[in-house]
Amino acid sequence: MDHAHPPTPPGTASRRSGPQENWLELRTQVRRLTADWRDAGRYRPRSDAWLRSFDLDFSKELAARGLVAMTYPEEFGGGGRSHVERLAVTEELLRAGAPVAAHWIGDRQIGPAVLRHGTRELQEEILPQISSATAVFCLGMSEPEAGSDLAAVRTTGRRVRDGWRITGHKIWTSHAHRATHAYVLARTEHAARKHQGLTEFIVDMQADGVSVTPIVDLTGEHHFNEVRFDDAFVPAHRVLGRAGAGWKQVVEQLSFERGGAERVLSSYPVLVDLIAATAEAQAHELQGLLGSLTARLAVLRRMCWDVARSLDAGEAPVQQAATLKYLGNTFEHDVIDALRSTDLCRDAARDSVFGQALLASPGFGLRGGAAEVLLSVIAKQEARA
Amino acid sequence: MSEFAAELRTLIDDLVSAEGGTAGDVDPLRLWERLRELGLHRVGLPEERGGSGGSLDDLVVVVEALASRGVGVPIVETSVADWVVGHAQPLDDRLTTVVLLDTSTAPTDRGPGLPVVPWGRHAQRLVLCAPGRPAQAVDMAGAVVEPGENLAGEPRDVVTLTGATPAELAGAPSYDAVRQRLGLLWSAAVVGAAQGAYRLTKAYVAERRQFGAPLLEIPAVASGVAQMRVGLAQAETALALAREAVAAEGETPADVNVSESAVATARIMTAAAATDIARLAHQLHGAMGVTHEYPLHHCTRRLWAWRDSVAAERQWAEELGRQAAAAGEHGVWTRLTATAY
Repeated sequence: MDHAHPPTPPGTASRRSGPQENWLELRTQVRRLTADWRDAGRYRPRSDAWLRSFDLDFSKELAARGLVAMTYPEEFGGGGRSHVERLAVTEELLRAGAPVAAHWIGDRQIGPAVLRHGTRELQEEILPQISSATAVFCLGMSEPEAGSDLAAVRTTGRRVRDGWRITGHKIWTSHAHRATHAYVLARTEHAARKHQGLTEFIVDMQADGVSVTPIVDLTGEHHFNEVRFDDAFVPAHRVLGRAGAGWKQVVEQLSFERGGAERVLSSYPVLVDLIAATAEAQAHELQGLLGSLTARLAVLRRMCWDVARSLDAGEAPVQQAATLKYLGNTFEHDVIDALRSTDLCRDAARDSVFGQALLASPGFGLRGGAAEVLLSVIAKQEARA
Repeated sequence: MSEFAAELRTLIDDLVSAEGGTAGDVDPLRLWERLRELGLHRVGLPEERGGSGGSLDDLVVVVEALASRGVGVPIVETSVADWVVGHAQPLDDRLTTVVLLDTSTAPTDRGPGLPVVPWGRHAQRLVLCAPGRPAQAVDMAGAVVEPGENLAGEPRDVVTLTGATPAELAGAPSYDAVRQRLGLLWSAAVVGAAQGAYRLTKAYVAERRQFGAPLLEIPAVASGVAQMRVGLAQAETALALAREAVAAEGETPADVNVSESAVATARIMTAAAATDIARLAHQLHGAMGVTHEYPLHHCTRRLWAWRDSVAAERQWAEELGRQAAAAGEHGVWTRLTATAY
């Protein structure tokens, strides 16, 4: 796969000391910071925090400590570190249930996409803003008529003088109401094959013609939105990569979107309770459940690590990431279900550890690719193998 | 990862093919003789003790490769028994098997006999390991063997020792170390058998046509294939974790504790994958898969037999869960994140 701008070689990360020491140092740093914020009452740990807990101040604090944009080159305000080191940090943040939603999407997939496919001009504009957590990104992928079938997007990009005009309707756009920028996948030509003629854009949420309406989810929380683009202008340099080649790029982006620890640890606060309950009850049934879950977690962590290593090697491990996400989401559900073998589920409050996780759980196997679609992706790949 | 992995796999594939190819045609004892001639049965044991050299990792590859062809030979039992004996004395040609005893009582001629002795009828010597006691070896001459079979039809005999008295093996590894090595190798065997079942199923649903198209065109069938694949990926990853953890520590019994949880994890994950993969393989094969003639059962029966061999999945899970509960969340997390893997 050719990349306009290959990612930082993995070797650069270990210039200070051995990788093992780096990980521990990074982990310790995150543990201290989250403990300070938690003890000061500045956040309350919760399940699904990476999607639902939005706190720009916390994201900026992480950015100031070099814990955002860790894998980006230093010239763009990044840390010049490896994806494996970034994984150590994201794992600790998820474990702590910290409020990381503000920078998560930009940091995770938009920055890397801009690094891989963006022009120098676009990199210089966007990457420092992600690195400092001043840019907040939302993902304009899904549409009312293009859910799992992403290539069916109807949003169009029309070439005009100095740029493009975008018209269309995106949905399930988390944090669009707080975002400064949107990543938008749009059709820019009507090709014979629907996977051709798609283009990726970076759109200002403040641009004329962009409007946001909320969708409240079943928990009563608001993170979803609908976003409408009515002839919104996008300057020419905000095209990400090559016009018309968006499909290949977005598929590659999915390995960043699907291959992280947030596909495994969304319900981690429930596991914390399960460990404590098992210690208290000392029942064989609980011990067996906890043992199996611990074993699965060890394996899933390793899969995250394998994906991170592939990313460090400049690959796009789409299949591996799909496998990880499918198995990770199943684990997240099973952790919640296991707590039903304790008393902690009885008449549980909606804002209890169990309640928050369970009410968030229907989204686990949908966002970033529905479980059924992931299985179909895997089956197709296997049929070819 | 073993540097000889590809070579060993090819060698074993060729051997199995030469002996008839499909598991049903292979005479396990003939294949075993071929393996012995080539020294493959003692890979992972030092040459100066009568082994064939190579690492434990190489042995894992051999076990996995044999299992993936659906054949059962006494490689796990004898290689572990030889490993135990090799600590005390140079190895001779006797076929030696191993039994883990639940209690610390030594078997006597007045006892009820040892149940489930793997390949007991073929063994010439038996290694006995009990918690808290040094391992012992006993010659099988004069022992009374009552044949039995496991779910895969492999010999699991009841042995009553009447003659020789078991003798202590000085310097032999601890019970826990033996159990751990068995756990690692049985995990490798399960992964191999799961690969075999998966390979057969994938080929079958691509060839078999119904409703005018290959079965694979039916979305529920494709989904089943994908679920087998991700289950296998999980089992393979767990095995890789355990191999690395064990390799990182060397093989001295004193180091057992650190890789204990990695082996328990591998046993749990491979057993769970065995359950799903055997069920899905049969479901996707339809009635063809339940015939004796079709080779699927050589893999699936081994999955069922081996997933709970020596210690049941549930037992490993309870042990790991007990440790996790005792360590608390902080301990669990620290242990999980102590290594990159």
